[in-house]
Amino acid sequence: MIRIFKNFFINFGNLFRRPGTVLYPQEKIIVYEGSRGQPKLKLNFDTLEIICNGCGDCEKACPHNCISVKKEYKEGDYYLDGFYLNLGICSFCGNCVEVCKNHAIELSYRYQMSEYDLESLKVEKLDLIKQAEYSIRDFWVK
Amino acid sequence: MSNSLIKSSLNIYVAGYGCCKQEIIASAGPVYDISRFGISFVSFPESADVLVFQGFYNGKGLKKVINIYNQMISPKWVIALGKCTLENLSYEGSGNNLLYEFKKRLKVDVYVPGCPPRPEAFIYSLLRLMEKP
Amino acid sequence: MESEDIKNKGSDIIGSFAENIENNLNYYFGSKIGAVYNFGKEIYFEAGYENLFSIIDSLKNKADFNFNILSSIKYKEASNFLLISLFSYEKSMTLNIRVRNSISYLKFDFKNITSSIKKFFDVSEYYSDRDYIKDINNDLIIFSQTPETLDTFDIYLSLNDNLIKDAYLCDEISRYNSSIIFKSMEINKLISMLNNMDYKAGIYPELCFCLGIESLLQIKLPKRAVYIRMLLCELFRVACHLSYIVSMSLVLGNTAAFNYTLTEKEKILSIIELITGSRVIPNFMRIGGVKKDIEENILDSLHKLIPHLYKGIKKIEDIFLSDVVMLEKLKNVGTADSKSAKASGITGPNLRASGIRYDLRKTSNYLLYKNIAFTVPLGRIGDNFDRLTIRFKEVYQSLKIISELIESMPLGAVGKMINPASLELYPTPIISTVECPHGIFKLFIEIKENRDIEIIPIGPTKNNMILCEKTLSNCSFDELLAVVSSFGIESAEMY
Repeated sequence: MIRIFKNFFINFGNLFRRPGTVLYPQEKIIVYEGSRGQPKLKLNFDTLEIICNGCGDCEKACPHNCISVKKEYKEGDYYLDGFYLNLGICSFCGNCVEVCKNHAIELSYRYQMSEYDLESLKVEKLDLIKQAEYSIRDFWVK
Repeated sequence: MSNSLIKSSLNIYVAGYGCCKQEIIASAGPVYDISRFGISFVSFPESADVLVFQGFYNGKGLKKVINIYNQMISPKWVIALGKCTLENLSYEGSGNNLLYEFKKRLKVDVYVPGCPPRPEAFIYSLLRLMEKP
Repeated sequence: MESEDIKNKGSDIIGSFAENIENNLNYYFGSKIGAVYNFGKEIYFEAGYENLFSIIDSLKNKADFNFNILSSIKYKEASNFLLISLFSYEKSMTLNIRVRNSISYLKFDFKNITSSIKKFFDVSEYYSDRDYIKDINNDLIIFSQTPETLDTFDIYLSLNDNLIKDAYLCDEISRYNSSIIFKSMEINKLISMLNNMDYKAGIYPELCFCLGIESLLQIKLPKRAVYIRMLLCELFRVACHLSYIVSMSLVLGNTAAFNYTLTEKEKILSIIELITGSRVIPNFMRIGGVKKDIEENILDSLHKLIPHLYKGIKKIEDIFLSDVVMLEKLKNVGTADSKSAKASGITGPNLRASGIRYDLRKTSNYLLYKNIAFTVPLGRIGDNFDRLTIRFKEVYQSLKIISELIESMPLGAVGKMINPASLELYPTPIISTVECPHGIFKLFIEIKENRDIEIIPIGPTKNNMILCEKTLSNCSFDELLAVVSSFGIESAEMY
């Protein structure tokens, strides 16, 4: 009998509690700083150029071989020509960020990456720069 | 018309095992609450509309998934989830006959990258599926 | 002062045990076996196929050895690899015998080997290929299902009315064979590929690998790095046990417990994400330390969270224990007594539920668990109830360990500046073990020439499956799903 009353009060108390559910598409759970989403190429904010010089360290460090970097030689220095990333086989381990000496690559907060075909999961340099435009938390953007 | 009606109350069959499955089950919990969209999990292929194809597979597991897919009643959709699955599907070699046949039989509608994708990403893929004409 | 002396003596005794066994092995077998390697609690040697059965016979029956439990047989057809591990509770030691053929490329007749070992150990038949049972036990077939602990195997049953006569757990869909030799691999790359060997607690394979390489190179770690490792281990242990409770409550039909547990698990996962950057795949261990430091405010918030977690998990336990229907489904169902539990060679919480105290965190001194006060909870008879409640008790102990770790977290560096590419790895076998949430996880690492590394995981899952099959043969059909999922079987040894 006592237990029934106890349970009643627990249930009654639950009426006034804040709901635990996050109404996902309208409101979003805050993704913590440092959590690993889609990679993006950083821009130098003064010159608005890509910091990456195409050394290819991330290509060697990637455990699933999803990065391929193409570099060109011009006027005594290497520069980045093409940066191809296959998001489908990327495991978001963060090894490419750890190994980069110039701090040119970064993992963003973006996790909504569903696509209708495999081809659109293969992203290129321009897509990755477009990611970099959102300097603050970009998880609000599709 | 009928497709859009079905899409408002999807029944999901989850095949396979692995780390993605944890996140799928987490999406059924009170924090994400996938049943807000009329989505429920079923354990019979006959009553399922969506096959979620995720996790680790060997040859026998792939045959089993094809079997499950054949038992489902059309209209039916397939979601491929996680890195391991997409790596299998995007592999273009002549070595694995079974995988080649598998890709020919199964028509995947939505691909979800991530290792494993967050529960929100799984819900988002279902929303994309509902949007799909 | 006295107590310190006793402690030192105790550690000496364990050390001398290993040396004794080493000497005895050399004395009895001499030239029959190869060099003997000693990895603390694990002893490894190679033996020829011709002498294998005589060696096993004397290991089991001679009083100097008395290794009376078969803990695993690992066979890889592709690379012709065969490792037999024997275990003894009295000495708390494991002997690992790597079997070599006289002609190296000749394949083993595995069926013959298992049937010959069956003379000494009954469990041996469970390791062989048993597909013929499918034709015998075909009264009822249950295919793998959505709840997490029922998804890696099919169940073949032969029924007598409502009683199960015999059961066969067929794990053919989870025998995931891939090439296991990592060729001239960078070590950081390898660590990020290891963590899906145990997908519920991904930190343990990484930790196991790092401990193995560190013991080989004799690297001494900074204290803070070890404390962070322990903190993460316990967080993952809590998450893994909570996911066990989730699937258990799904099977038992307890929706309230299902919802409450997932809310608590979400809190733990968010802390893990805050520290490592991912909810499931940590990729956090490095050789000589950890990847990055934990900030003070994260530790503070975790410390504040622990009483709330304790309260929440206590509430879930009350839901299970105050419900008469749940108790009816749990108590005296699927009893595995200590004798059969010992014989099948299981480890971890399922063994402790049967009343045998064996925990690697206490017996072996890996990491710094000896600095921390905690108890190893025990069950009484090993039924469903014990197997469930022992998980709750372990969660409380883990929470206690976590709060103790945060209070005594030392300052300092979190890793040594080691470039993994410049490590001098010479060809040698390594065996390293950790106590993971569902038993003892063992990695066999063989470093070959040109920095090729071969890794073979030997997980606790197979032993749990053996015990599960044994206990099922006394149950009624209604209890089947609860018993099977109470063993918490996940395929940990996919590679």
